[in-house]
Amino acid sequence: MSRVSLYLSTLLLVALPVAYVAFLYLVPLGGVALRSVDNSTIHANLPATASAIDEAGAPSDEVAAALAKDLAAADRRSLGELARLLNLDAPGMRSLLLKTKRALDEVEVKGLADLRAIDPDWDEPIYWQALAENAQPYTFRYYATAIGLDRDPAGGWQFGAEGAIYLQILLRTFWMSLQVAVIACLIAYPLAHAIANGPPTVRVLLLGAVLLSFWMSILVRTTAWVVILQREGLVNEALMALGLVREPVQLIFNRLGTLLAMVHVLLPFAVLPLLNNMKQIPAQQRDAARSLGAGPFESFLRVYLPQTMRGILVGAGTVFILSLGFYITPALVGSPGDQLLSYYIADFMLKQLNWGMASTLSVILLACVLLGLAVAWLVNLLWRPAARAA
Amino acid sequence: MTTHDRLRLERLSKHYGRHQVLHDVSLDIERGSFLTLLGPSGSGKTTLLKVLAGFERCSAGRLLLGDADITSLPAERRNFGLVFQGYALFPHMTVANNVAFPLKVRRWDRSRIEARVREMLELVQLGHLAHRKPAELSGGQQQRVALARALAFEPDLLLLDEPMSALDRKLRADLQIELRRIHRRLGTTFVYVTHDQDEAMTMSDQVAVLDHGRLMQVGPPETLYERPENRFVAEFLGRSNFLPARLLAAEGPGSRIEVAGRTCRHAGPVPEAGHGVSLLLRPEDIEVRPASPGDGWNCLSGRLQIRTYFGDRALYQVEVPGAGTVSAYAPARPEFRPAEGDEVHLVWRAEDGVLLPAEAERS
Repeated sequence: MSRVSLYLSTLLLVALPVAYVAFLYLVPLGGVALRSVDNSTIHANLPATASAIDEAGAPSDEVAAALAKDLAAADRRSLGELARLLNLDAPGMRSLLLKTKRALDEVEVKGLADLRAIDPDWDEPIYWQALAENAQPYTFRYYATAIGLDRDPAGGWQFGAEGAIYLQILLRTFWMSLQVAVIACLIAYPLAHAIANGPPTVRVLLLGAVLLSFWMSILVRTTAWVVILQREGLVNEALMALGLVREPVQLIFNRLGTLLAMVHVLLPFAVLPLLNNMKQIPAQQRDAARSLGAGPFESFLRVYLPQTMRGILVGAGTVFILSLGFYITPALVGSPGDQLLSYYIADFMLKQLNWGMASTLSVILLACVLLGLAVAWLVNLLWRPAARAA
Repeated sequence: MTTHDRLRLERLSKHYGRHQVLHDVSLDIERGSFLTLLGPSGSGKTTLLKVLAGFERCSAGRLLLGDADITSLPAERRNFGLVFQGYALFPHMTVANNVAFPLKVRRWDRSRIEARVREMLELVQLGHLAHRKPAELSGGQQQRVALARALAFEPDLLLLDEPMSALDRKLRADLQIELRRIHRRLGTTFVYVTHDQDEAMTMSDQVAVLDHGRLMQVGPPETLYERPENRFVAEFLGRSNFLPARLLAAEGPGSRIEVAGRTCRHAGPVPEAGHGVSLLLRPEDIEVRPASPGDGWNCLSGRLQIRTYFGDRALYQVEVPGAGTVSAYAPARPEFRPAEGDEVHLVWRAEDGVLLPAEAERS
């Protein structure tokens, strides 16, 4: 087969997957990224105002006339959306705009004075600033909010009174993901070792158990934890029956339950790379270490563990990155204080209908994951000589 | 040679469940010797090696190093070096760190380790590769690193488990010479496990032949080849002819035997077996002649079936009535060149035959 036809046939083979990924993954992803800075509602609905107003938002007759013209041209639906968005920046602007729109049916606005006659609130600079701020088709308002910045009365940025709440949530997301990754690896290591080196029956049974939970839906497994860990659940009843506790212990809807369930759901992702790694280490290595004088502990530490480092890193990295985007499990078994960033993304999307904010948080999370992958890639690159030797 | 450094195997037995793989193996391995455990697969040689190394406990018997009983000493405390068939180098360590491993485990000084590693790598002629990873070396180089590592801590014994089976012929030959050189230089006791009779013959001072978990014979290669004690050893080492024979009479230093209906002379020891015996003749001890040399010679006549030419010699397969097919080597340029189908005469000297008790054929 010639080179050209080889390329052509390869291209043909990847055409479908590439199209699939492009249209169902990259395009929506781009949409999310755009939405996180998108400000076109105002720009599109107040075109005359947007071009007339200056950066500082100084009111003038010219701007007032442009605004009146735009408002008169706006239909009810887009005006409602516009007013809602502006109200986020300048509280009270919603009613001000709607009132002005109604008045425009009777009054012709030629200058600033006419607007003031409709509502004296148009004297306040904050409303004009809000208009000036949103004159641009894009905004970093959502990112500012995400890192805890707030509008000060003079129109500048300041750190909000409630602090950088989303940064804290992001930090919590990282911290819990790290905990899950470490715990999962600690549990997965001996398990993978038993599967890799144990007698055949044990091997089949354990691997079956790991894969079985791999094939079951996350929702089902999480719900099972709710059943087991709840106040009248299996664990509590057992503890009480044994007389270890008098009152049921709170095992779920807290951090403990969340970590427990997440570790369980993600365990196969730590076991499989480790298992793959361990299977490549010949049993002879242990005999060799012993014949050279190393006891079991030393031979594990100096010979076995270093050779499984790659499996540990791949397993922990996979669990960590998957944890960052976890939603269902913490939502079902966690308290409000255990929710990860994805929970707030869903909340903004489904309840608050603030797609800009939801998109922004998504982009931040995605950036973090990509950063994590970049680090993993670097580690992999540095680890390559050892990997090739194995 | 001090007796307290001799390794003595005392009636070692090993069974897995009801399956016995070693039967009463007794053997003395003198300090500084090069002993080969030779046997086909399933002969128990690998199990014996594992018992010696300490990876397997024997079911019965004792293992003595000098006067010390090391039967139950774990592998890591035996101070025996081990070279594996698959090298078993540590892939995450450099060549130098592999060799340093047993020394670090023994908590040697840094400077002493460095000196020793350099010395060992020089010994196997790999000093220039000290900072490579094992994966960057060829098979032969890796096996030499394994050798340096197993010898670095001055073991009381070096066990080599078919160390060359993964190498090609040329490398094998090189490494064989290298092994003998190192053995001579260090004077460490080598115990070499192989199924390859040529390796066993060319390298060892002593060969121990194993079959089905039993020790068949121990001795220098020459003794095993020239005076095998049983048919298994004779067949396993080199090519051999077994001719059914009958002992007629012992006369003076020799005896008279009947082979395929002819009376022949025999000059070696005679087995005690009162009934049948077999005469072992090596092909190189048989001369192929056009005519019988006359009375007083051991001679059988037969018809040449197949002649196989090797360049340096030729193999004649001769059908002898009453004795089956007999193989004989002829020189490369013989004066007598019979054609296939011709009648030929096979002649041998009385002292070249070996009489063995006739055994029931192995199934």
